[in-house]
Amino acid sequence: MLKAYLIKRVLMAIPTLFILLTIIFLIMRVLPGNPVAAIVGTKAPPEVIQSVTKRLGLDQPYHIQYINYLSNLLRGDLGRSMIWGRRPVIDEIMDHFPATLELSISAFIVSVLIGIITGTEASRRFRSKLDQVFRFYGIVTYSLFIPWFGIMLQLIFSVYLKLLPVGGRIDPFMEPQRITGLYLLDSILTLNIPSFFNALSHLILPSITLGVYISGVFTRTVRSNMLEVLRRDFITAARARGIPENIVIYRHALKNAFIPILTMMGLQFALLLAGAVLTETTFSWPGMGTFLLERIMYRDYTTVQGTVVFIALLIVSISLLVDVMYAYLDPRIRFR
Amino acid sequence: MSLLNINELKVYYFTKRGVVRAVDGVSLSISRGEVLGLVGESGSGKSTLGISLLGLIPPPGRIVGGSIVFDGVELTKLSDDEFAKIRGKRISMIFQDPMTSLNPLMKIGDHLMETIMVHENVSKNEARERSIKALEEVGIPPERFNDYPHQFSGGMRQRVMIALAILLNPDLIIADEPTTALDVIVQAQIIDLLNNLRKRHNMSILLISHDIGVVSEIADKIAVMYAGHLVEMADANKILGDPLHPYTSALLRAVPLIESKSEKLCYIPGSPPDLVKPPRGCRFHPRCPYAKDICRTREPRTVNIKDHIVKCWMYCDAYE
Amino acid sequence: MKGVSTSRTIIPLLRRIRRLDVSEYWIAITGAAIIVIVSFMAILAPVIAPYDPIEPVGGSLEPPNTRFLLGTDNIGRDILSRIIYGSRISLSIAFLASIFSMIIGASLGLLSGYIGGVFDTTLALIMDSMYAFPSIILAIAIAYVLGPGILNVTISIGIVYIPVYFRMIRSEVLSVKESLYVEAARAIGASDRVILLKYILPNVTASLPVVFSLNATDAILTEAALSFLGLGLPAPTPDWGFDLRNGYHFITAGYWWTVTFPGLMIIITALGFSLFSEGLNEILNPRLREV
Repeated sequence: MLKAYLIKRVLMAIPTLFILLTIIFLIMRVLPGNPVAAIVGTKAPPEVIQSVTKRLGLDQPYHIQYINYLSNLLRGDLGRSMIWGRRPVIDEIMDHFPATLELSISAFIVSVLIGIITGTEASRRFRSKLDQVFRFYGIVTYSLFIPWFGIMLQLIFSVYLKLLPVGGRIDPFMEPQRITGLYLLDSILTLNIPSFFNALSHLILPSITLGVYISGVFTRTVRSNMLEVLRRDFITAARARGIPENIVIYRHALKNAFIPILTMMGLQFALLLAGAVLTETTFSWPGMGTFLLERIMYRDYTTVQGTVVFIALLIVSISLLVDVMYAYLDPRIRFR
Repeated sequence: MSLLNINELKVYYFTKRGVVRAVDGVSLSISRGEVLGLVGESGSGKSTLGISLLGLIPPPGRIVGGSIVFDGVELTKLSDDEFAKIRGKRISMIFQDPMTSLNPLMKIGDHLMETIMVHENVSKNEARERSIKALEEVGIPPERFNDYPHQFSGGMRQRVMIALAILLNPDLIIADEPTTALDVIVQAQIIDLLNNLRKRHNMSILLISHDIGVVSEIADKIAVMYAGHLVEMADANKILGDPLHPYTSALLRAVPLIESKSEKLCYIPGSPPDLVKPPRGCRFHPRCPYAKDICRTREPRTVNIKDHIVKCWMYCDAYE
Repeated sequence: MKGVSTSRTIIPLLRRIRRLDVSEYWIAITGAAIIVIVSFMAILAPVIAPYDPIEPVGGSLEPPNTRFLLGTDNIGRDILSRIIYGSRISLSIAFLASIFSMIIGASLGLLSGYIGGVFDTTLALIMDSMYAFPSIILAIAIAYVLGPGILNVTISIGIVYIPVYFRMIRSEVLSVKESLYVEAARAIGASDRVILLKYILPNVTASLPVVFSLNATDAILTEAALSFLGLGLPAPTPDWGFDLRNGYHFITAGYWWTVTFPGLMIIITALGFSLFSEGLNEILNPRLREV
């Protein structure tokens, strides 16, 4: 039954989340390194040190801290920022999350397109020169240093050809009215065409950078899954019915190879986020990556912790979502 | 008037281990409306022969010689696009394992409709009508049109495959071990079904099987293959009643009959030969009780004794 | 007893190597060649580098010319020399971090898989959760807490990749644990320690070289990433990631050589390791061949 499968999956996600949260706690509180000194400096007067320590709750014994930490999280309270307006961390995260989301989605689309086409065509020409080239592509993209690749693209397209902007998400005063926070979507929804193209031009280079980086993994997975599927009897049977080869490959074979690929794509989400941090830094993209780094630089302890917790939540939810999608797409599970 | 004429067909697989001579000079023909049973052990080349007729030999195999003439068309010279027009429409195939021969993610109704629409320019509704009719012809109720393959039993899946095969009224159906994956009772049903359909639509069938018992139910002619060679071919009753080739006799003896009195299972000693380096001379000689010197050195000629074809030195008048 | 592990891995391996042809090992050879070249670059740095990497020796931001083959950075340091010396940092951190990960991860995997029970399940769950988390972010968090410096960077990267070895070794241990020769050893009264070290360990380490190499790739990239983000090594140390970050400020004015060459070195070195890993994998575990 589909429901039973889903319930089981949700139950399995909880301990994972719990452990991640605990690990984050351990890293932030227990590892050597003095966050208070990092914030106020080693030469601060003892009263200042004490008050900061108290504010951070670091004067309590560890297990009390842990309980507070967990109970706060359960209430959805990620704490408040240590700097500037002391805004709730969750608000600050939400300011920056749509930018990362937009980048991730476009990069994902780019990588899927590249991965599917290269992987499929490589599997059709098993062991030919093109196959070797595509396999090499997979290895190269894995070793790609994102900042370098992004910078090269910037040099070529922004500095020399002057076709695309060097960084940022949109030019000043061009932002569309905020509905979702995703500029492309919002500008379409508010029929703001200049905004749309402006946002698009800023999105191209970062998406390609991140997309190419992720695509290598897809190429390899698509290729190996397709190779396995193409061996199966129903492919020969479809050809035996006179179905044209392109339809056999792209409709019959790919659909069957797709489900494990999809699962893998979901699991690669962590990779996507990791790559997003570097991409955002390179292109001055105001997403969660740059936000996290900025707060690290400012020693905004609570925000750093809150952001990492948020990321953990995101990852667990995405993999859960992928599993649900998997169950829905495979009729063998859906109709049992 | 033969519908299909295979002449000295040679299909080799070029593997890293060596060249596998899967089909090594086989000639046979099938007339309209005729059922030819092709019998042999696994490795005899019978399946390769079957898929050669559709141009679907998997790499590293390919046709290296001979000709296949189907209704006047030389199949070995067709491009893949041209062949695609024939596949499913004039020659169709039923595969051994119905579970793996159907796309698990596609409803069976879609399997049928797709096949029709690829070959003929008809509306979706008409395609659906014809698909439902084909399913009914093989005994599958129309309510199951939107079900997925895993929701059917093995026998019903094979019926679906048969429906797919007869859908466009082909001239020739190649049935490659259609009953091997099924249990005995269902086997009989499937063979019956094939027979009825064949009569109703006047189709020819190339029935490939290792089980001579299954073949003997409906075959008009029986051909026996061994190690890539066609060793005997004749009308079914002649093969069954008066086999000439030692291999055929051994095959027939190996079928355990319920009435047989002896307790021992008759089997053919030895094992099938390595097709990369087949035995010299007659390929069957290591396992043949009648092997003579000439059998060990020279490949036998094929002779035709009153429409009874046999490839064995015992029947060549002069050993020359 | 050594015979058990040998026959499982070495003899089939030798047979396989004898039957190889070029198309199958060019990947591993290319990777190995790159690694060797970069290693020599690191070892022989004082000999082959034309200038001191830390001192300004030329004008600021000079383009590639006959004196400075790859140009100079904004402080006037020779980029070629910095790159050559930078290999020392990258390679040593990558190797050390990978060895650190491997020793800890493999030992934990070995113990956990062998002991089993709640200990194993909990540890496995922890490792799986860490594995699922983006490595860079984890490395950033750890580096943030530990502070800058070579040792801390090495430890950050090392910690992040422990789960990889853990999972691999543990799954192998789980499958080997129940085999006949282990049972036999137990039957003759061998102690747990002996079983672990003499029987199980040799048989699960077969795929370590492949994973180690892949890990080194990640380590190089993560180290460069940390430096690029400013969380790595302190200023004058020649480091590819740091140079990339430094040069980044000047690209809009067209000073491309400050970023292109350090970045290329990062990629080429990483590529060397990943090619070697992939090539080795092809050799040891050949993919499906023709039907």
